[in-house]
Amino acid sequence: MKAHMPFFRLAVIASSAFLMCAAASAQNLVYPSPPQPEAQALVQRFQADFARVSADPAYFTLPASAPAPGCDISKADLYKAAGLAMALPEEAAKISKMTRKQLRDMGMDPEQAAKPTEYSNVNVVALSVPCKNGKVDGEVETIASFDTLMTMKNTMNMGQKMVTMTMDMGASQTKRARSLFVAGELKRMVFSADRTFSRNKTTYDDPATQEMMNKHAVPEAKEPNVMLMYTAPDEGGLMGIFTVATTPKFSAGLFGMTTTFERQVTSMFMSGITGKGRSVQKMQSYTGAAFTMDMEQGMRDGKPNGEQIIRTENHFRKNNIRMDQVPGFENARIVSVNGVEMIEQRNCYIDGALVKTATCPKD
Amino acid sequence: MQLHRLTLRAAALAATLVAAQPALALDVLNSNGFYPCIQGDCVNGRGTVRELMTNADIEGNWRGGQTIPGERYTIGHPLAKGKRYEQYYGSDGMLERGSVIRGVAASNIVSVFTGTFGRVDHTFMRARIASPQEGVYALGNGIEYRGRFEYLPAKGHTAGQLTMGHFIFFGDKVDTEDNETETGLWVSQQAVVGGAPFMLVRARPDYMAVLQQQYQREQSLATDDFRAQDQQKTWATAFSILGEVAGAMGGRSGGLGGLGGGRGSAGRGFAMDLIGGLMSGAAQQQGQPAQGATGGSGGAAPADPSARLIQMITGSALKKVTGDKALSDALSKAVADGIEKANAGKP
Repeated sequence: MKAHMPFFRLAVIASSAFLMCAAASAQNLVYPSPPQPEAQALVQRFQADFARVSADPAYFTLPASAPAPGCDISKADLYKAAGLAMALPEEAAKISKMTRKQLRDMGMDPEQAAKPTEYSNVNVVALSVPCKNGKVDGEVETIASFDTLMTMKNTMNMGQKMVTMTMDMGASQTKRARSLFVAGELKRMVFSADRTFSRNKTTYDDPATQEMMNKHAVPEAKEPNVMLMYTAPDEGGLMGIFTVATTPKFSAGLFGMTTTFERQVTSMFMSGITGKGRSVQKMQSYTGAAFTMDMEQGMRDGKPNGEQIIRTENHFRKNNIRMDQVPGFENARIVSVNGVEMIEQRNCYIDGALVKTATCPKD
Repeated sequence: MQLHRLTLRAAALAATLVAAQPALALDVLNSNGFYPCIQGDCVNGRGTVRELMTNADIEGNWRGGQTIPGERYTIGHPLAKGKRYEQYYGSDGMLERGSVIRGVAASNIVSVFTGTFGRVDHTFMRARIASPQEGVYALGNGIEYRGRFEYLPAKGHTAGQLTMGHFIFFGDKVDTEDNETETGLWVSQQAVVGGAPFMLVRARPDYMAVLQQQYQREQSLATDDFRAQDQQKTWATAFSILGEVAGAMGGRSGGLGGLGGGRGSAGRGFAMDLIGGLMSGAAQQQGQPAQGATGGSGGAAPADPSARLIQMITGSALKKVTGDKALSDALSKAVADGIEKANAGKP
């Protein structure tokens, strides 16, 4: 497979510089301390893996030549194993069709909202493809590089005129993945590591608005984001997603606003993800050590069915706002989760659809 | 009495400015620039106004800057790709039937309601508004809701600031792209601001009780909001009046040329009566429940409690200025000017 794209060469140079910085800063990151032992184990695993990835300049480097796979694997299976199903036009079309109606129900313009992400410069290399009885069986390991572009257009009312904003959200990614196959069939992705260089551009069809926005533009972070994902060995078990991202911090100085960047870990733990029968999906997230969100959702046959409970940070208290006076929060309440004061909101889903009701049916 | 008419006008203007939303009467001259005229004559003739909230334009004949009942108007929007919709207004200046374009935020499509409009006394805005009743609400992306709409006012963050409410719909949800129809009850996902587009989600009948309880709870919370706003407005108006009285007594343009004779003490007496009246009036106001919905105009007293209090105090203070018509007229004018300036937000 072709691996000598201009972007790729640039990315390799950039990544070497990044890895030197990242290795030094990995120890300064703040990690969460979730109360669940399984989640704690995932945090420890991530800390070790991130240190290893940060210290290895070759980790996100595609090999100059692809090793011979142990087993024949189709292009579709290879892309799915690499977590790139959406880069296959037929898969992208299927997903786009499924989401179109949902987006229209939400009042969105499907021509814009359901537009699939464009993939280019896709390069997937199979590092190992285990075989059993002539079929792919075991963990398939891949490394892939690709560029993505998502374009969104929105027209805004600016009083005397309408201004159209075009957002180009581009990214150059390298992804390593391990996916489990049993008797030629893909079961699940076991692990993935992503490194993403973002390049976003927003343009306005009105020069005055463009000029104003240029003045207030936030500089982009030079360092890439790194995401590691671990799935559970059993269906319904705990899954962890950790992202190390560079986020801007603003401060007022003598010569105006200054922007500095800070590396931060965002951690998310999910459980109860099954495709069949009844389950309760749970999700908890942390930013650094701070517990920021907790969610429970009743599910049936892969669709939301039952009560959804969302608990988020009590940001109203910080801003001294009375919660019962905020539209949309009339029926929310304050609760304590893991010793943290949070805002709890409850919704009800029936057969995949949000339904307003006094009591959410159990069945 | 001239003062009384001015007070009433000032109270009405204040209500219009605070509640400037498309659902209120379309009045080009008293909209605080909300409906600028972009073409022709929008006062007494044929012209086109722009509705700043949505950027829609409305074309038709205007009389005294207002719509003419029963006349045909057309509304268009830059995102409606040249399509124009009909509108017909009632004698109260609000929409009776036709189409309204809903949209204030960023979007590539416009949502349009076409049908008839009812009237709702918005408890939390202390104003009567026009609201979709029977018709079709098209999201602009192939989804249409065809049936009957009801509107339940909501308080929002602070009563009297933004027109907010819940839409309740019973009828058919039609997907014209997939040719599917569902019949049932839907409600807006949350309280909707003014003329913004709204998303509807399925509701079970028991949810109506939840909305009703929420409405009752918000009414109770609104009492505090209104009381605070009324007191704030009363004092702002009083300071504005005192400024005008001082100007009149000090010989400002139209004034009485200094504090000579007994006029200075009469002016000071008037000012002290005003302050004394406010002090005792504020105490009374605190003990009274704040007024909610206007429920129509009816009667001579202004609906706004702060305007009522100012009218009562200034009326009582003016009665004491007897035997000097010029002084009485100057003070009356100062009071009226003070009220006007306070309502325009420039005391």
